[in-house]
Amino acid sequence: MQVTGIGIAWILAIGSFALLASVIAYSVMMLHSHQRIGQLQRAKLDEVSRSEEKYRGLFDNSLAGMLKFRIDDWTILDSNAAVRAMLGCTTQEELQECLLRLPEPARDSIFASLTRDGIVEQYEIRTSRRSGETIYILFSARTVACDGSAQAVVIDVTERMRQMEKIQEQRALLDHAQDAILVIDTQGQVMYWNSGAEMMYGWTKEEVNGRRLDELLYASANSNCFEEAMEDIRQFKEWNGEHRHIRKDGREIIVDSRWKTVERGSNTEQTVMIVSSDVSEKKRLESQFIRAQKMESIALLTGGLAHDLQNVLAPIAMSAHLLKKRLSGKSSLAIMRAVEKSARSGIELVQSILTYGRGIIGERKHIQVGRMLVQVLDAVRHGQWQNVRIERKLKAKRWPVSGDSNQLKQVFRNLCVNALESMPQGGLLTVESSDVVLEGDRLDEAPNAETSHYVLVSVSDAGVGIPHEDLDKIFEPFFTTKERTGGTGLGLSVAYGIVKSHGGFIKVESAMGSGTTFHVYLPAVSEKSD
Amino acid sequence: MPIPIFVYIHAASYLVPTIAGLKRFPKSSRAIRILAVLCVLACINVGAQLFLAMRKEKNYFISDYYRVVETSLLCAVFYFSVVSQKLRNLLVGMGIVFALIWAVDVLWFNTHDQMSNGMAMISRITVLLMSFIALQAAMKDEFLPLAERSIFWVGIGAAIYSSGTLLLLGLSHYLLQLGPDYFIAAWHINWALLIVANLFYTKGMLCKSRG
Repeated sequence: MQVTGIGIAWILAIGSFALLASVIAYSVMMLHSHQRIGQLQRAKLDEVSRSEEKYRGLFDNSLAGMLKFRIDDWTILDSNAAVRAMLGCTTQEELQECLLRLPEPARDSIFASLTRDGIVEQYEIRTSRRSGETIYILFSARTVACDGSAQAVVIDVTERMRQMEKIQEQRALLDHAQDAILVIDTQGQVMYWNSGAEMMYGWTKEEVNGRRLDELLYASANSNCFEEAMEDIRQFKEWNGEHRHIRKDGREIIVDSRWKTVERGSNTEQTVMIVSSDVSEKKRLESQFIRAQKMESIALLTGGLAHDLQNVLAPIAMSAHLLKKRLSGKSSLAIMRAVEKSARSGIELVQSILTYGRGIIGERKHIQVGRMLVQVLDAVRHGQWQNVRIERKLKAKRWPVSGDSNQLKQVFRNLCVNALESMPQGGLLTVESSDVVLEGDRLDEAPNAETSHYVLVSVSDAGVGIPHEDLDKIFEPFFTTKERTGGTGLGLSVAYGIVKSHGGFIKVESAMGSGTTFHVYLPAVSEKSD
Repeated sequence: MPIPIFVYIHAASYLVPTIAGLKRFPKSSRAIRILAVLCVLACINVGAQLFLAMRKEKNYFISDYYRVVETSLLCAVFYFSVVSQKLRNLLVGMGIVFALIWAVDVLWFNTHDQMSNGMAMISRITVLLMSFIALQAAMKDEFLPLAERSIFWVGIGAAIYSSGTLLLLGLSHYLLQLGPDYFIAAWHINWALLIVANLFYTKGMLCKSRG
């Protein structure tokens, strides 16, 4: 029994010890095993920590603003210093306020993009810093999987936007300019073309982009002007002067151009900025003014001279007439008749010159120009003209003009005779009358105009035409191209003087080989007046 | 028979986890707070038992009632230390089963005039199983070293004490039949293991980790 009791005690002791030892061994093994796993885990954690530290450094030190926010309520979960500084905030709470101040449409749009596509790229937002100052930001964000948040990169583009606004303002200003402002590269290709240029030349920006300027605006005969200007630009960096340009519709205009080279940023590449003003009208008016002044001077000079000559010739003619009655010899009478005839011819000539210079204040009546032209053409028709056809485009009832019928007949007779003489081999003479109202720019064509209503008589021939360089001189007294046929050079001057004294003006169009048209504008009058 | 000096030493050892537990009570996790409460109750239990022993009165009934308190509170400690809901349910189930067995024992079998060896053994087995469950759960958490986790030290303490005393307490009748020396030796082992368990509890309470 005792042995059994001791045996039980031993069993108990050994059992207890075994259990205890098992527990301790289990604990130690567990601790050891976990420690090993823990070391591996810790190494992993260290790696993660280092990586986190590295990316945290990138995040914190990035010059671009970065933040993490919950998509649904825009709660900021994390932000770096750059984004806080960008929006003028020192704490995340202040940044939260700024973020909630973003315009609602922008937030809605970003929310929609993030929930739909998981990404929003370079969304431009105009918002304000904490201080209230306006700021433009470029907002890009991407959702983070599963946790309902998004990581965003925010870039301050205020300066860029301001520069763009400035550029747009300047562009708008350039477009408002009346002048044509264009930029070409050194090869002459158009890079910029403002609205002024569109209006001046008729070419749109899209049409000219990339095309060569010389092909666009310069006639082939004129292209050396472009090359010369480009050569000057290469040498002296600038060029100023006048060029004749061709519009899209083919009309030629004269432009006053200022060319200057412009450096393109830090590149050595250069462009040429051209500012051109249309001076065609100015040139025309200038030329008109100069011509008028010239005619005035000539009229004054010839008028004075003619008056003196008349004073000289009148006593000669009168004396010759008286002496003729006293002379009996046949030969003496013949001489005296010749003297008288020459003196009277001289007086007529002088009176023509006076007519040009001062005009003649004759008896003014209301005249239907059409009827008068019929009479003139009937008289002219009886001349010895070969193969001439006369075409009349006249209406009996036109606006009347106030004038001296004889003088006006002389004007049209001179013009018709000139026209017929310019067609020695025959041709078509067209006389046309119409009522015209000069408005806007056309009114500028009428010097010292007192009315806008004119009767226009156009006398056209199909003759040889007048050389361009002679057009300015044809109304000058004694200017003639018919020296051989004995022209005095006073026909057109007299016509000019008469028309001018009637308040009208004459315009000439001529093309060599095609003929010439004289447009006579006479101021119309109301039939009730006078 | 005079009370052995080791009884006082073992009784004093309860103060160590109690003081540590109370001191760190505000910063502690729910499990450690429950453990601190258990330590306070253990102090009261030991104190009451000593008091009765010194007055030569029977104190077994205190152990009988304390046993269910200790097992239930340790069950709660382990419950709050594990994360898995399955393990939590298992722990709760074990606690309930033990409580039922204890209730049956107290109501119908236990006369409180001698030590209830069966219940002592069942309670040790229950605590041992619960501590293994908690330790296994702690093993799976690889992010924190085991030695830095409270539940490891508490679980080890409970397991060492329970395993070491499982047979001694359960079969103490046989030891008593062998003579008082064997019985007293067994109780010394019990007290020594209790001191070890208390030290492990203290270590668990002082862990910085709240897990």
